[in-house]
Amino acid sequence: MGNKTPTDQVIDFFASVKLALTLLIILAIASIAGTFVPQTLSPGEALQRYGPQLTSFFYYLDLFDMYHSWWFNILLGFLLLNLIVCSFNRFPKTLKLARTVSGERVKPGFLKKQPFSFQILRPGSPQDNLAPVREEIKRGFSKPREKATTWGILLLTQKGAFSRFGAYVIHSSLIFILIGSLIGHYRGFNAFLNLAEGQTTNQVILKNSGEIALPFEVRLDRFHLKRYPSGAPSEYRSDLTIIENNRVVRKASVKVNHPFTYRGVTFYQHSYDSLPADGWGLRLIRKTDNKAFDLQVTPNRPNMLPDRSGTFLVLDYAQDLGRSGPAVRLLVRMNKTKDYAVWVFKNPFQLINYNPRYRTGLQANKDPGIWFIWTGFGLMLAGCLITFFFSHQKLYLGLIPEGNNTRVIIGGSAHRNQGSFKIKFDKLTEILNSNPSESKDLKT
Amino acid sequence: MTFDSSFLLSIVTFAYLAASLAYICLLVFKTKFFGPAGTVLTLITLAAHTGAIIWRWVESYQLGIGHAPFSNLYESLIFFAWAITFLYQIMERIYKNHVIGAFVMPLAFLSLAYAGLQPKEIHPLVPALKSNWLIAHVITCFLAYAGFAVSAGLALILLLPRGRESISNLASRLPATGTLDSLIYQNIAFGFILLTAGIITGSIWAQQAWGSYWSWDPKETWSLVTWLVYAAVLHARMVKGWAGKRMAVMSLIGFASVLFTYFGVNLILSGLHSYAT
Ligand code: HEM
Repeated sequence: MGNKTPTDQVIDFFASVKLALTLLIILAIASIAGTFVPQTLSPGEALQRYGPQLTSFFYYLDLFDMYHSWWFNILLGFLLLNLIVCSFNRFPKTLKLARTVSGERVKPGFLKKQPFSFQILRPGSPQDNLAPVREEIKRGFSKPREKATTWGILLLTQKGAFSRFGAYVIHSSLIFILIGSLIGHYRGFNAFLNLAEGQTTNQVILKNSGEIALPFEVRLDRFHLKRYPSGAPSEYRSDLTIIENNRVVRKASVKVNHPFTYRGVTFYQHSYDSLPADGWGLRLIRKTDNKAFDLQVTPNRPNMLPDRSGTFLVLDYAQDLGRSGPAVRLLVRMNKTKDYAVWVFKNPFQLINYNPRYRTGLQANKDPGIWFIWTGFGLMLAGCLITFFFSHQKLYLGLIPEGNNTRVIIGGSAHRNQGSFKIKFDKLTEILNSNPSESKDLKT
Repeated sequence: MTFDSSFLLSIVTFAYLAASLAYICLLVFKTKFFGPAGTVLTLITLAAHTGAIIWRWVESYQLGIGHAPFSNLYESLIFFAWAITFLYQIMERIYKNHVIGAFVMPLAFLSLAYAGLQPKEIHPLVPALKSNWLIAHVITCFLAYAGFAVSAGLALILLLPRGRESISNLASRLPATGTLDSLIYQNIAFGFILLTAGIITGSIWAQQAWGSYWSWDPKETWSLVTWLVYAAVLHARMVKGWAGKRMAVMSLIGFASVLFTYFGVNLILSGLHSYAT
């Protein structure tokens, strides 16, 4: 260590897996902290909960918006730097490992030192002895390279070298995801808009603050609310029309889980409510003589009762009150009695028509980084599969003539899943071991 | 009491208890008979368990609100138990060691027993849950959790004090430390891949439903914590050569994080994933 330059020391620091482990654990602990400190507290609530001193300390550390705080981002930055330096540092070594070793170093001793190794003396020439195992090798590995050496014939072959690069694929996927999230953060937006049926707008309200104008207009043609028999909502749907330069360019329906994208802006069904309609039809029946009066009711204003015995006001409206259907609540003000409020239902037939105007709540988001995220996800899964389901297996076969016989030495290694390699290796040794007819005339 | 899928599942619960006891008997008394007995009982029960899940699916269609049975805590616990049993049986086929069942099958039993305490009605899905990504999300996450659960069971075996008199008799029947170590690693690797897939499918679903692939919701955050812990475990093993007892301890820490992600978040923290309310 003593004669390393400071630059080397810095590189070593950022290339070390120890740093990676430390960062992963710190990130985990910090993430945990953020699930216990509420992330959407208003300053007032924070003061009440934690008192002035702790609150100002928490604000200093951005603990109420931890995952976007400067120090959390620094940690992520360190992780990435660590990843990149480490990958560049290790890559040459991985490249070297991904090849079979050849050249002078490969001697019988090298073969015997492999994690899996086996030797046997068999009759016949090296070529004769290759024949029985040739098929087996072909099946399990790529075509072997044959080399004549000073001590005999060497065959080398391997399989699954690409698996050594799985970790690089996983690590690069993290870089894609980071880039994607940065692009989303700086070039995208999160906004929402409320549209009543029939209304058109190009203004959307940003989540953070402010409004922006979309380069096109959106109109809500209709909002549909579908229900299960129990009354619980089963589907919300907004039928939208996109208008550009006063021309209708697209019609689309947006449902929960089925967003719609136009020119990079994606619309999500988020919520809905209903506005008082222009009026309700109400049938009133006078108790004294059962005479029915049909009248049109105006919201927000007192309405005269048909016989002028008093007035009433629409206080409230519900699409489905107590699962008995639509209803309006009236405040009745009679000339002689005290005011009273009453719910009037459509069933049984007092409320004649009820057609509220729905208003949809849409989210309008733009995220130009999303394809980096999807690519990152794809690479991460691919990298995991490459890393964990394949292994780099190497096999060396030495054929050394000893008089009329041949000493066969095989050595092999697998960088993971040794179990499955062992099965292959045992098959080879079994083939070499058997062949009793030939072993008989073995002269030792 | 009507004979429906929930009733069948309560029978399955007790059958898993019986299977767990058989495996435990194999561990405690040397009688060979208990090994195959536990296996046969588990396999029959697993078949019934599979049938019950399909049955519940059919029942939801009969109610006119058909959806895959992966939508609430009750259903997720049932699938969790299924995944644990399924994984364990595969492992038993490969490694031909019945004793591990004594440490793994009780987990399947406990998961179903806890399910038994949950409300069992089939409810219609709220619009946000109507997505094929949800099915992919639940299946991948719970297979991952099952992998981590099995690895934690194996970790317990590895951490048993082997030297002592009272245990040494048992120890002769336990798998060798090396075997356990590699099994723990394989289950963690399996769990890590599926957790990765689970977080990814969850992100895609969130992006479709809410327009945001990641929102630092407590459940999301805890799944990330779990993922980070296991990523650290994999690096420690791959690069630093951690093995044996250290791996076992890390596996238990990871599983504690899984349990908190699964149960703790619902009980203590609030968020989008309000399975248990
Ligand atoms: C969230 C962040 C990370 C994830 C998800 C991740 C994931 C992985 C995975 C799954 C493997 C394969 C493990 C195995 O073969 O058992 C791996 C290997 C590795 N990782 Fe990471 N990693 C992360 C961060 C880092 C960082 C910051 C470093 C920096 C030092 C690093 C260095 C390595 C190394 C050296 C290997 C072994 C590569 C080999 O020789 O095969 N990783 N990583």
